[in-house]
Amino acid sequence: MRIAIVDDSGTARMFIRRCLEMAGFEGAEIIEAANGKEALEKIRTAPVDLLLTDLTMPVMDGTTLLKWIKANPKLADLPVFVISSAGNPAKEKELMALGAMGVLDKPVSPAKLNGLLRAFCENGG
Amino acid sequence: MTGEKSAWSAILEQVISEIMENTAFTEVIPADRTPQYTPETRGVSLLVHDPVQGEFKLVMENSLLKHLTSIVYGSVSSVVTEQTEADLLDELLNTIAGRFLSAILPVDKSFSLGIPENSNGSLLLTDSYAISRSFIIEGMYFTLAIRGESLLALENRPR
Repeated sequence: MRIAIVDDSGTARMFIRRCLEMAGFEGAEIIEAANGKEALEKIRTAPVDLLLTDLTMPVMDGTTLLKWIKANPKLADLPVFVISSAGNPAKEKELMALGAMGVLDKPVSPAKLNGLLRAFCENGG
Repeated sequence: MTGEKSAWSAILEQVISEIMENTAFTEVIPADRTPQYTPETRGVSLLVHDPVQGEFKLVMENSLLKHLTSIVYGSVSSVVTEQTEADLLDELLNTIAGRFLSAILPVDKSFSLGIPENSNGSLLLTDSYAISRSFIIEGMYFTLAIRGESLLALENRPR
């Protein structure tokens, strides 16, 4: 399984990596990007199975990244989960309408991530 | 007003406990006093630009920051530098401020934050902050303080 982690904070990316390991996904290949533009460049050349992104980032934020992914026929089916501390019900509704599979509060717990990813895998993700 | 329980205390304690417990995987205990921090104490400040103006400050004992960094970086903790520790402190304050503002602002209201700025933690003048709450993780202290008139005025407005 290849998972992209998109966050401008190296610490946040490392934290999500650790959560994935603790959630039983230590064998996953992780692709990191510091913003949406960098993520798009990486996943276009090396496709991933799942993308976890922050919302607030320089260059290209998480909402814009989601729009770009869903507008690209080759990437549109990619499951995207947003992990952010800047979410609220209105923003979550907007992100879900744009095609996000879920919105999680930062810092996500390994248990929550585990439950979410297991459900995703069981549903044929 | 330092140390006084405000209407936001419960929200703040819940947000901080959840964030720190998810980061440290251990219990966070509210402290009944703000400790006298030493010059080695680490600190970071973050301004709120919009829709209100204010400042969050996070101060943490150096030993606690090193402990948290070692947890986050785990087996690759050999790559940890002072900058890595500062980045973790920045990320923690960004997350605390974001979650707290999401909890107190109207549900459809977005907000804008500045860039975290490192500051001397021992210079935490709690009297200049309207809200200041301290916590303990494994015997080590950290404090979150908030100031800014328009930010604080939200406390008395219906959400």
